Amino acid sequence: MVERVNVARVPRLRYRKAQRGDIGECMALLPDWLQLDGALLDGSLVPMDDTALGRVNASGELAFLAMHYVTRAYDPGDPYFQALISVGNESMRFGMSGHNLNAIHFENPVEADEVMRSAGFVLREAAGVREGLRLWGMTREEARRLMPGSTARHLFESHPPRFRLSVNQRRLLWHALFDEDDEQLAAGVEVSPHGLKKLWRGIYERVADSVPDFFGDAPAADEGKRGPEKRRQVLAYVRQRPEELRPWLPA
Amino acid sequence: MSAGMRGATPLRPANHWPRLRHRPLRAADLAESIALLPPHLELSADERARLAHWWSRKIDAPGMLSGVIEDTALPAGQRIQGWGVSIIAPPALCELLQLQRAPCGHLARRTYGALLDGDVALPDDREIGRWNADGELVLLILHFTLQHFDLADPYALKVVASANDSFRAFHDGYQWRAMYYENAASAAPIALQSGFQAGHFADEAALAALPPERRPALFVLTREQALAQMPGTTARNCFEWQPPRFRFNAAQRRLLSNSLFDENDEALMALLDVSVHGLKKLWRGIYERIEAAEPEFFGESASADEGKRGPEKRRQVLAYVRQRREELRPWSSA
Repeated sequence: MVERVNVARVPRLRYRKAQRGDIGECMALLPDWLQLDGALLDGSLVPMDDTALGRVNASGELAFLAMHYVTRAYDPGDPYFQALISVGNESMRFGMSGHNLNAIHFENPVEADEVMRSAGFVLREAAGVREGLRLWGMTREEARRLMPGSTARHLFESHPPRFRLSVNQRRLLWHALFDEDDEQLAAGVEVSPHGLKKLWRGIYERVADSVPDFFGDAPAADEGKRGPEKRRQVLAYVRQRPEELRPWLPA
Repeated sequence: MSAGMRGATPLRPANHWPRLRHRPLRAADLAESIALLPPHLELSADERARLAHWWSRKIDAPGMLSGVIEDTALPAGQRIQGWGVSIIAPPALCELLQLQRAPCGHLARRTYGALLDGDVALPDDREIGRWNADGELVLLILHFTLQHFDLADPYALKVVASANDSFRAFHDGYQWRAMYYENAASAAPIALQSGFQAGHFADEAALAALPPERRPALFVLTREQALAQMPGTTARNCFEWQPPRFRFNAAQRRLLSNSLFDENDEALMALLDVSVHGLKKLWRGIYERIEAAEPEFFGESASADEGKRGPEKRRQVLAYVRQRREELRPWSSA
């Protein structure tokens, strides 16, 4: 028998994408070990755009660098901390899966060793890692030698996408997977209500072009009466097939 | 695991692009699924037919957790590539199998036998709710089988990856005391990599003579074992749990569980055996329950009806329960 819980004080953790409004709060969580003199800040490194990412993804050369994952409190013995790590694992699976990933690298302090190991990452013997930090990772070859089951291994499951959606269509679907309403969706992808309808219509057309019987015997691909039902069918599909949400541009 | 039961040559066409997804087992899947019962059950044709009939009556029982992995790129009738079956083990079954002490092998065979003979019954929603609130829930995974068992085949690994997702969808949100998992010894890497620990049957020596694909093996994860690790694997993560906030009734929970698979209203009505009006009433009841527990939940939305604001409320509820699955599980505190 476990101890009865005071329901009023139970945490209600969830994950979601970071938004502009979160930046102030998130900045306070930047880890102490960061040295903010890097290539992104001085402009010598520019993050890849959707086209570049699509090329790298389709060629199978995509690599992730997880730069930091920080929790507000760190106490491995605290059930709340473990719950937080669990949701962190979920967030990583949801946010990163579906890429044609070649490798992931993940830097974290020594204190996080158990968190990293339990998530399935492999410790690297890397030169140049600062004292107190560790480099973890996984490559496609390592993942292929393992059965699925851990968070890190899961990130290497992918197929080529079926629908080849545009960047805006993918952005809309990504937001919609968090069950946002139309107002939030329009704000998230920065379009008018009319633009939002147009985006959905474009998605249905693209899906129907690729797989003519996807919507069963639905008539025209519009966002009218059949719209919500089509939306549901598309979301049901991409929720389990996240490669449709990723850039993909074969040579 | 149905190691080798379907032979080494998959039925997939050349240049096949799999489109795997997981979902709950439905009545229409039974013929296809029953063919995936594992060889270590050692069923005669009569027993198999009896079991199929039993399944058709118990498919929606609250103590039965079952999902299928299907490849939607294959023709209907050939789509199911994996099948997993768990039950919430009532104390009588735990006792019969000596589950939490020194169980002997062939747990699934003896469990099906006891269920078919009526020696034990699957728990009802109220019993599960009570055990859940007490932290005394015991899971028995009866079998997980693949249509084509070849762990060197990338396709099989994709099915296993989808099965891990399926396991999470059906087992997250309960307050488990322990999970016991029987499968063929040849499938041990799948269970171990998912976070289960190797267990031992009391008659391990007698079982040793069986070939790995017909030899049952035991895997275990107790709450103590799980909480001694950080999250990261499928099995470990299922032990993360919090009490529910809204205490939905059984019909409301069934509606929400099925809605998470993005079923349309017609499909939901058929699954729940309710009319359009009944479905609306169920949704309305859910909104009312939420507003009673959490008046701010829907923001400034007006009355709790399934009118214009209905679809928006539905979206908000699904967004919440998608990440907080304890709301979908029976819970009955003393």
